[in-house]
Amino acid sequence: MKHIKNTISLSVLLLMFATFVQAQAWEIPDGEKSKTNPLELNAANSEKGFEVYQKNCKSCHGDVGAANFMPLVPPPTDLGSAAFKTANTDGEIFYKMTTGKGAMPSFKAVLSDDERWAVIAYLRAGDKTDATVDKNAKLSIVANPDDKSISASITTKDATGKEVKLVGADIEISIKRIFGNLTIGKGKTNATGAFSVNLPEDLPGDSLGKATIIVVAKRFKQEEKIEIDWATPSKHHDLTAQASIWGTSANAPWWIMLLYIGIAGSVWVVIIYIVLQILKIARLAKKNV
Amino acid sequence: MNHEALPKEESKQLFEKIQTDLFAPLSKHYGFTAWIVVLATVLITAAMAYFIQLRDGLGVTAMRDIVSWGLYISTFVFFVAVSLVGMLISAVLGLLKIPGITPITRIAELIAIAFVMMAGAIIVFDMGRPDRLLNVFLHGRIQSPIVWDITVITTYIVISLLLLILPLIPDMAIMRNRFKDAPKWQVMIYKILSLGFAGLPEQKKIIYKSMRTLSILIIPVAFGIHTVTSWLFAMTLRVGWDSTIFGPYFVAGAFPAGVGAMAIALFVFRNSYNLKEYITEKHFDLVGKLLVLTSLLYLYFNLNEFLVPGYKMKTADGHHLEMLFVGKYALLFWFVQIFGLILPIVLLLFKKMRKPFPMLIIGVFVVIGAFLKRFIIVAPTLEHPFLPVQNVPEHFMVYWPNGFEWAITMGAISIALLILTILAKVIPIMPVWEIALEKGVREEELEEAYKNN
Ligand code: HEC
Repeated sequence: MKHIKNTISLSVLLLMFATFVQAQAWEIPDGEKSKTNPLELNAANSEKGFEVYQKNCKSCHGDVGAANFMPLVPPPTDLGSAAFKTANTDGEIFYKMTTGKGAMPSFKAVLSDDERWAVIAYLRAGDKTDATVDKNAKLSIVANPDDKSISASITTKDATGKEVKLVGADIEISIKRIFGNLTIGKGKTNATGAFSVNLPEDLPGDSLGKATIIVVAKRFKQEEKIEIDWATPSKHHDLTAQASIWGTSANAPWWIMLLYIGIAGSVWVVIIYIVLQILKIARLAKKNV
Repeated sequence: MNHEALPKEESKQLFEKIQTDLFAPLSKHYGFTAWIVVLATVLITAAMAYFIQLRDGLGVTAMRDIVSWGLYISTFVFFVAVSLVGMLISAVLGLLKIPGITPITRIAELIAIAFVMMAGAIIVFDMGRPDRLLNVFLHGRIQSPIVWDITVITTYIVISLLLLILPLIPDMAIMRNRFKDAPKWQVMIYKILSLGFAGLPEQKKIIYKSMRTLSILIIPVAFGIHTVTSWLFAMTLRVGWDSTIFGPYFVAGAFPAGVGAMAIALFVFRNSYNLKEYITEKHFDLVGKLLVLTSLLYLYFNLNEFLVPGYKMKTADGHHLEMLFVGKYALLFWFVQIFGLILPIVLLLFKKMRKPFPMLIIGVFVVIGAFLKRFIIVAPTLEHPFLPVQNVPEHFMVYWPNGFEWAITMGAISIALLILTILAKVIPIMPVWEIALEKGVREEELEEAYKNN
């Protein structure tokens, strides 16, 4: 599914560059405008909307509220901007996602109604979570090589200013891979305020066993990284390091080198010989005079 | 066909006549200006199209990321194919000592040079960023058929040029002595290109030996150029390209294309240069027979190329073949096979058809067929990628060249014809000295004409 969506966005982008898209205003039927979000504006729905947004919208619209959208013409709006959110009803946003326009793809066939409404729940929730983010929250990680565990906790200050560990906070722990982060554990902090996971025995790091662990507490807008050096060292089989058809010239298989240099070389030796012979014609002429 | 040497007086007159005939077109021939105007018009249109393509990028063409090789690449293959005629006529027929081919060897060589040069050029036209051309050389990988192709094309250009220059040396010596009153720069050029040739025995020996060596050398190189060109396709896993006989299939296909072009060129030069005495009906007969022979060979390869996968109809191959036989490309496919291959073979079996005018018409059909054939080798395969294509606009998946591509391609063809025209305007279209010897002019006569004084 994800693959298909990527293909869509990519090809729409290409189309954008290849042709001029005439910009015209959105036309939204009145009945659509007044529709309201059937989903409750709660954390679960907003979370779900966030996932959908990351996979389907971020590539063009950027991060919500960050105004880092793709430089297209007409530009994809920052869907987190106050201007956008006040100017559009839920029904309008829903309609725009559903039908698309120009380079904005139609998500009618790609996302279910619920998924689309969830995105709106996420966009709307954005302001509230922003306001309620706990400024004192602090994420900390402990990596324990003995049992190969990663443990994370969130501390904050209570009313009296005393440091306390939060119980039941959502945490996601992942490991950095080549093309993205691989989630290895997702859950809530326990009664002691910690959430921990054990790294799988065979989880490979780099050739020295190094790896980067990323811990995210989304609700608190916190992200921390930690380097470990006790992941399983990977016996990385570098396909471009060996002699191969697909490698660089320096890694060309010997038989290709031999054939190429042998054939081209011998032909050119003859050519150079002939050129020298031709020049000899001129030399003979001089001698003759 | 070395005749017995003629009596002295007769020999002198004959030599004079040959020179007059063959040098005459250098100063005037019919329709030259009109022809140049036609070519220039096409070129100007092409230049405008190319300017826009350079400015706005390859997006102005109909090529997209699914069909990314189109008319340019198929024209490239066509150019390479036509250029093989140089090897076929001047080397193969020459080494086989086929009688009477001397008058047509240089024409073949000129066609070869003009078209192989443009083959190189049209690749550059197919580049969105030709300013990065140097990267191909700096970062080219020896494992890549593209690098092999560049190597072998360059080699073929050099050998063809040498094969043109070598027999030209004695001609230039004759011209240097004959046209003493020509403009200074012209005399300069004759002087330089004649390399001081004075008919010394060692000099002649070098020319004969070098020509022979090159004639042998050019055969594998010419096979190489078209085999490697076919490998640009055959080294992939794509339907319609992934074939073990692609090398010989291309080489076999190149011969009729080149011989067809040869028939047209012979007709044109014969008439506009007034060379009926030199390019005779015998030559058309010979070229006609050659066309039958090479076309039969090509027909045989076509049978293999289509019958074998057509019998099995493996899923992907099946789609591809259906598209060619009864689908979108059926009209082109059958036109090419019937008018470009089968009909010419049948017609040319009759002696009457191997006369100059019928040969011209058949040549035109064969060449057009060859051109279109290259197109249906390149484009349909790309319309059938193995990875599923979804959710892309319709015009990404199908391909038909648009105006820009036609204009630029026609431009490339007219540059090739322009090179041919200009070369044929500044150098004699036949090796004067070889013709003279063949017709029985005495050696002394030539010695006299070569003398560096
Ligand atoms: C391929 C890039 C692309 C993707 C992916 C994309 N959009 Fe858009 N979006 C655009 C563009 C470009 C516009 C502006 C279209 C116009 O005005 O013609 C736009 C406009 C919009 C608008 C209207 C903005 C306004 O100012 O009225 C909304 C709402 C919207 N997109 C929502 C989404 C949502 C939700 C998703 C993900 C489910 C999404 N888009 C995915 C490119 C994209």
